Amino acid sequence: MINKLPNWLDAKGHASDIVISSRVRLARNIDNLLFPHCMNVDEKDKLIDSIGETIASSSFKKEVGDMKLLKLDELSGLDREFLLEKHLISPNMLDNYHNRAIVLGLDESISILINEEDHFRIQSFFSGLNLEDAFVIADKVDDALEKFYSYAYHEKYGYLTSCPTNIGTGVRFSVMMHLPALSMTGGLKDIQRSLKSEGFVIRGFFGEGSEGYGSLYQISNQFTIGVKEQEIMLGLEKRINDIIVKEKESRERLFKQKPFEMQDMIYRAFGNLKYSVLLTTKEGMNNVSLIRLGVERGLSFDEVINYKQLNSLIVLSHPAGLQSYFGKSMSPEERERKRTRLFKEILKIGG
Amino acid sequence: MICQICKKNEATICMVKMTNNKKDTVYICPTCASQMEDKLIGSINQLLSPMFETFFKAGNTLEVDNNQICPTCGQTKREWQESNTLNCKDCAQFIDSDIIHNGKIPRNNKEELYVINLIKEKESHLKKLISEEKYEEAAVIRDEIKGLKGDCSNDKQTS
Repeated sequence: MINKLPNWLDAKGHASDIVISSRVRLARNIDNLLFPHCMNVDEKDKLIDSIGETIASSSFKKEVGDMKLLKLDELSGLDREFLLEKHLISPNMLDNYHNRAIVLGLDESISILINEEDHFRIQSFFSGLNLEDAFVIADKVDDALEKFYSYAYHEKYGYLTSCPTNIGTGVRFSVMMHLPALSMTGGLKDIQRSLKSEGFVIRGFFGEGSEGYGSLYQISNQFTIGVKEQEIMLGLEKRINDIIVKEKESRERLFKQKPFEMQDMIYRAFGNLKYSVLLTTKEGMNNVSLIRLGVERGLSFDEVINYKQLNSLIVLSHPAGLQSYFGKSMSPEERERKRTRLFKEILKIGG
Repeated sequence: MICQICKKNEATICMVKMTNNKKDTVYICPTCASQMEDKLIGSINQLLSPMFETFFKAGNTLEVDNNQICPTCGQTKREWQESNTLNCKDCAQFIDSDIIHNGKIPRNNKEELYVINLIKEKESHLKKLISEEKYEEAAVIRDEIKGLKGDCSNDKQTS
C-alpha cells in the first residue's frame, strides 16, 4: 500500500497541463488535551490508539470509507521518506517521527496526520485544479471525526491551533503548479509580490527554500481567520487562473521570440534523459520540467509522452521513490545509475 | 537640523506623510527612525491587508498584566508573547484580536449556538407581546422558551 503512487499525479482535472495538484489541509485539536508539543509520550500514543479505534468503527467507515493507520515508529526510514516525497507528511514529521502517525485512505487522496503540530491534520489531494472536491472530502472527514472528538473551538476565534497563523478556519488550500516560462522570464517576482499583498504565498516544491526546483511551485493562502473557507478557496482559485493565463502567455512569447532556442533546450533535455548514464534527482526534475513544457507546446518526441508519466517521475525520481520503484535500497551511486533506467522505463524510450 | 522626536540628535531622515493631499514633513534622526521602522512596516502591512496583519499584535501591545497565566497548561502571557504558540485551548485568552472567525462551526456546538440564538429571538418577541398586552400569545412563546432552555441544558449535560 505504501508503495503506491498517489492519485494527485494522475494528471486529470482542470488545467492539468499546468496545475499538478490541489490540496486542502484542515488543522484540528481536541479540547481536553494539551496540544501535541506539550503532550508526553503516553498521551500521544493514547491518541494514536484512539484514532485507530475510531477509523475501525462502522459509523466512521460508513461516512469516510476504509482507512489504514500507520505508526511512523513502525515504518522503515525509507517508507517514511517516501511519504514525504509523496507530500503526505511534512519535513518536520520526517525528522521527528516518534509517537506520530498517519491515517491513509485507500487511494492516498485523503489522510490524517496525528500528533504533528496539531492533533489532527486532515489532508485531501486531487489532481489538477480541483480545490472544491478536495475541500468537500476533507470537510466530510472533519464531520466524521467531530462525532468522536470534541474540538478545541473558540466562539470568537474559531478552531484553535498550536500556531496562531492557522487559527480560525484552520484551512490551508494549496495548489502545485508547473511554471517554467514564468521562472525563465523572471515574471514570477511580480506574481510573488502581488500574491503576498493579497494574502497568498508562493513556495517551492518542498516548501520554503526549494524554489525553482523543476519549476514546480506551491501557492497557498496565508490567512485563515475572518473569512469563510469557500471565500479563501475562491480567492485562491482566481489567482491560480490568473497565473495559468500569465504562464501560457509567457510560453507563447518565448516560443515566438526564440523558437529554435526553446526547441533546442527541450530536445536536449530529452536527449539527456535518453542517453545519460548517471542522473541526479535535480537534473532529472529539470529535464522533466522542460519535456513537460514541450508536450504542452505540442512538440513530438520518439514516443508519445503524457502528463501522467511525467507527473509520476516527479515523485519517483526522488531517492525513496526510486528505491520503492525498484523494490530495494540502494547507495547514492547506484541510485544515479538506476535513475536513468527509471526514466527510460517510464517514458518508454530506448537505451 | 535637530530631530523633531528626541530633539537631541542630528536629523538625517525626512519623513513625508500624505493625507488627503495634505503633506506633513517630519525630520528625524536614525535612532528614532529605527524605532519607528517597526511601527511603520506594521502600518504599511495594515494598508495592504488591514484585516489580517493586525491579528497578532500581542507582542506589541502595552499589556500591564504579563503574569496572567493559563489555568490549563500554565503558560504565562509573557511566555506566550515569546513563543507565539498555543499550548492548549485555554491559551486563546492571550489572543488580542478584533478579527472574528466567520467559517465552519463544529456541528456539536452548532446546535447549541442555534438554540441560544433562537431563545434570544423569542425573548425579544415575548417582550414585544407583553408590551402590547397580548398575554395569551405571550404565554405560548414563554412555554416555547422554557422548552428550548430545557433542551439546551440537557445538551450541555450530555456533551
